[in-house]
Amino acid sequence: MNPGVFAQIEGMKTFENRKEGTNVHPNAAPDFALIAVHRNFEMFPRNAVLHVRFFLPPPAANATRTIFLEAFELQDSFHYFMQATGLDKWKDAGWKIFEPWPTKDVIDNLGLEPANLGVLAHYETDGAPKVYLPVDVYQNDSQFKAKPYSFHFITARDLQALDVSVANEKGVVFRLPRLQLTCNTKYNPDCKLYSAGSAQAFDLDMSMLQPGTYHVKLLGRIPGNLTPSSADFVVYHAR
Amino acid sequence: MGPEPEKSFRPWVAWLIASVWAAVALVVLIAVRIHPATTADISVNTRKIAFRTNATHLLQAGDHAQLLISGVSAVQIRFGVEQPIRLDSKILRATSLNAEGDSLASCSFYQVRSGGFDVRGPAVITLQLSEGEQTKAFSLRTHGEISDELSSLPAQPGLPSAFECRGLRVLGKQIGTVEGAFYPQGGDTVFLSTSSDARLDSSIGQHSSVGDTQIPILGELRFSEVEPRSSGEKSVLLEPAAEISFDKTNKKVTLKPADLLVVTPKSDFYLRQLKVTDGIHLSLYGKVRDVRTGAGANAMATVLPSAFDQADSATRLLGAIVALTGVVLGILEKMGLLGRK
Repeated sequence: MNPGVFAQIEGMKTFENRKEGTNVHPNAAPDFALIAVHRNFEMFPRNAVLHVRFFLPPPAANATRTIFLEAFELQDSFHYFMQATGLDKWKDAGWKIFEPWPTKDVIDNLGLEPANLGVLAHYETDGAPKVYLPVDVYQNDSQFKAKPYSFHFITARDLQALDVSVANEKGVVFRLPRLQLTCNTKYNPDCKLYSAGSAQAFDLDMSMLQPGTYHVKLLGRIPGNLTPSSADFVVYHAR
Repeated sequence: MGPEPEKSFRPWVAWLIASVWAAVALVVLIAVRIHPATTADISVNTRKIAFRTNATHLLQAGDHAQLLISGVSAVQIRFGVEQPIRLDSKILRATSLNAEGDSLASCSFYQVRSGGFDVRGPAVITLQLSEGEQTKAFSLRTHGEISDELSSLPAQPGLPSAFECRGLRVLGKQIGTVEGAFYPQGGDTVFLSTSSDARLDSSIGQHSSVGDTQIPILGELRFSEVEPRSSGEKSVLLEPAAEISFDKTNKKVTLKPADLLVVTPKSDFYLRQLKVTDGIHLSLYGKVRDVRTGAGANAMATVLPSAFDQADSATRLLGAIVALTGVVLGILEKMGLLGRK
């Protein structure tokens, strides 16, 4: 960590293409709150200029959609928040790049570490769930290899186990390397895999799937409680 | 014999008296309205506290039924006797284990004793009672690297001393899960360090408590959080009501339940004592620039004593003498006892 950090940035600042600063943002109200979906995340030094790339699928016929690109701290210390503005210019499908995002404006002043930065892109259409778009975050333009997606989320409940599965829009569950994470109850019957309010992550390799919309389903077991916590995130997988 | 001349104030005397009274009134008015920094003694029970500190060590030694650490950058385990360790599906026997992680790696240690946490450089610490179902559990988030030395406790029936980690690299190879039990008699040791943003969650042992003393506080303390559904600022204070007293005066303020509280330190401000029980009990002491409290974010007012409150008795006596001088001057002038030259 750099010495002399922790400069206080009160509130949000408006820049040409974004609002950025410190802001109290809601999290962990539902069982699971998604805070970042990364395809690639390149670590960066101070005074970097970041770019965020993601694939925007074709819009549904006659539907108006709103595109969001946001950034948070994964482990929240300063309530850092960035929200891109002017994204409505993107009407067509294709790869989109949000730039420039200079770290000297806010990130460096707050002393945020790159490993603690989460970026979340999604769009919303009336009457439909949010569709999340995995992002590449980088400083130098490069074509990244397809990698497992990193999903970062906050759980609102203590969890003893987490089961992650992927299904298509028809509900067909895919035989991806299934994630079944659990703590060992032999060590402690009330053990916690994840604590309530904590930011956690899992990797999901969807590279063998055809491009399209998929449902990533999370099913969590709560210690001492038969009712599970669950979530269903819609993700657009592109190549 | 002509009429007795009317005893009236000469202009300069009238101005002098008016000036004395105006000056006294002005000084009192200013003194009442300004609130200079002063020393405060604050007792608070809260669900959460976030603070910036340059303390080099946090939390006294204590037993943990489970200590879950997210953001493990390195872990070294030394076993007293060779123990089986499971690396994913492979089992090996070893007397030690060295592994590296990153911000996504996590470890749980069961039935261990922690020596407290060493903090490398200034850090932002957020201490919070657990949001989960368990009682006597808390979380500690850090922005700043920390390290800890643990020792395993003797196993209890149904509660072995053990560890399990995820996302570590062992001998340069990425491993999904690393787990094993410590020697049942206890005494195995663990050294771990974290990445610059880490979180520790602890279920405290039944007969154990967690606390610390003399932690320097470098920035503002705001006893509130934002409620996700309403985005409104909500108090995190718990019963009993917070009490604030100020050294130079006898002023004592007792907050109403669920009041908001913001403390802005000036210098040499300390978390004198911290104890995690049914809440996070804090005793804070030091020089403060401001202490504000109120029913809501837009209704905050300072409770700092004014300069008038803080003025010592000699200063007040001096002010009273000056004001009385004006009165005496007026009486003397009215009686014609002031010289006419």
